[in-house]
Amino acid sequence: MTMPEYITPSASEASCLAHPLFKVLITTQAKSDITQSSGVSSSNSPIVAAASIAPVSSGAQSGLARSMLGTSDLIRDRASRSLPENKSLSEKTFDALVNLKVLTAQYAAHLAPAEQKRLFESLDFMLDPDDWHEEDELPKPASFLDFMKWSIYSQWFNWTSLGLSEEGLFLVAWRTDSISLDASFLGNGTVRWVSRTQMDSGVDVIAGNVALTSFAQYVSFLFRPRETDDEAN
Amino acid sequence: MPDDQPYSRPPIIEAVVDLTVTPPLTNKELEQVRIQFKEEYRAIEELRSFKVTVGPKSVASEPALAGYKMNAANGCDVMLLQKNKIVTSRLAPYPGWDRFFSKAKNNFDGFVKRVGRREVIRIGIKTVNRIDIPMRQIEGQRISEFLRLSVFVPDAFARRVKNHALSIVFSHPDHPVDIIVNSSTLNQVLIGHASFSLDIDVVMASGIPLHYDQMWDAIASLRSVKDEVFEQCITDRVRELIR
Repeated sequence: MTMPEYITPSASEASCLAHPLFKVLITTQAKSDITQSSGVSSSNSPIVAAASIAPVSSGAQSGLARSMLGTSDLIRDRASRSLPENKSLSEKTFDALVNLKVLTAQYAAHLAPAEQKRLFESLDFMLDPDDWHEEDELPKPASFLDFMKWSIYSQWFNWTSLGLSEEGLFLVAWRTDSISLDASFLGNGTVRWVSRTQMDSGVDVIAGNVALTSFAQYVSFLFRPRETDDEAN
Repeated sequence: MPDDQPYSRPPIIEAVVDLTVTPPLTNKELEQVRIQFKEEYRAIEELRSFKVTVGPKSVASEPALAGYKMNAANGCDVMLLQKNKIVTSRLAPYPGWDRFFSKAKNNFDGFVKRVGRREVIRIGIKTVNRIDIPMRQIEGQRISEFLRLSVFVPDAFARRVKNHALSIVFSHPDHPVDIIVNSSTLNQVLIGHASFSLDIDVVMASGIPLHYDQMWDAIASLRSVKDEVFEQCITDRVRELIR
């Protein structure tokens, strides 16, 4: 078996090895019409084995481009990997928790240590194996990534609580004396939200389903300093 | 911010110490190492190698244990075990070289304690960096405004580059290492930003001391190499962003 040109003997093997799509070797013996391939995959995802051949046989990526899929192919891979079925509920919950923390690494440079600590504490609480049931849906990584992107874009870190919907979507709540806002990050670049604002005339209830950037604008508007706040101060 | 870290927002996403050893571990030894570290790295994925043979009438596959990827509960510390490798990886936030170096050394010490002495035949130190640049700062700019190594693009197009990818291998004038630098444009990681990867591999594949203490001294000396390469590759505009 000859070594294909895209395998580069570099230290990048280290992080690449973690990526099941990476360590695939394949050669084609045209004369015998026999194709052999070998590689490394995670046993946890049966999808991986099938998927791991595809990028190679497609020849879509050059050696150069392939060697550049660094780090965070490991991290990105985490975003789509399915969890193994043969693990205990406690193990699955723990893996899901670690998975979210791994994903957070992509954004660590933009998170103050105190913010990350608070976030991790909330995740630890949310994904406590003792409070988890078999029928509970594990968190959707895409939803979490949207929440992270939105938080850094909006710089709005002062959420009151985090939760999970029945579908595994991230629910985020903000509370003040006069405003409550609940948002569900759908994992497709949009947010579904509902706000309740106590007014002199009653409670204003507004709901929407908007892009992440639009939601940032709305939150900024909703929690803007108000005249009554200024007077109170 | 760690004492040895000059930037308040270091762009390191992953730091890796990758040691290739010989002779390779047996499956039993691999399992022993997994058990050795399972309390520290509790989220464990089994890696399997596989060989698929596609013939005219049948397809056969032969799976085999290739190693383990083990994550600590903090989600940041990762160990990768293979029959000929022990890899210590730290995802962001990067705690600084000194702590990371100690972690890698402790892992290797535990590895040797469990499976006995192995000769290290290749050392790889890798840092994966992602540089996030606000769109308003990068639109209409040349990549060379941010990275000091880039693909030459004719003036007519230099400010219209949408994606780039490059890989360069060079040797170091003072250390017996090869340095591999990869950089490319990344898909939008942050809203309103463009991101570049800047991966730096420092590889020592010859002249590795047989004595472990001396080997770790050699690894420690590679820190200045990776830092030097990073500083040489970025511009002051990037420094302003991460300072």
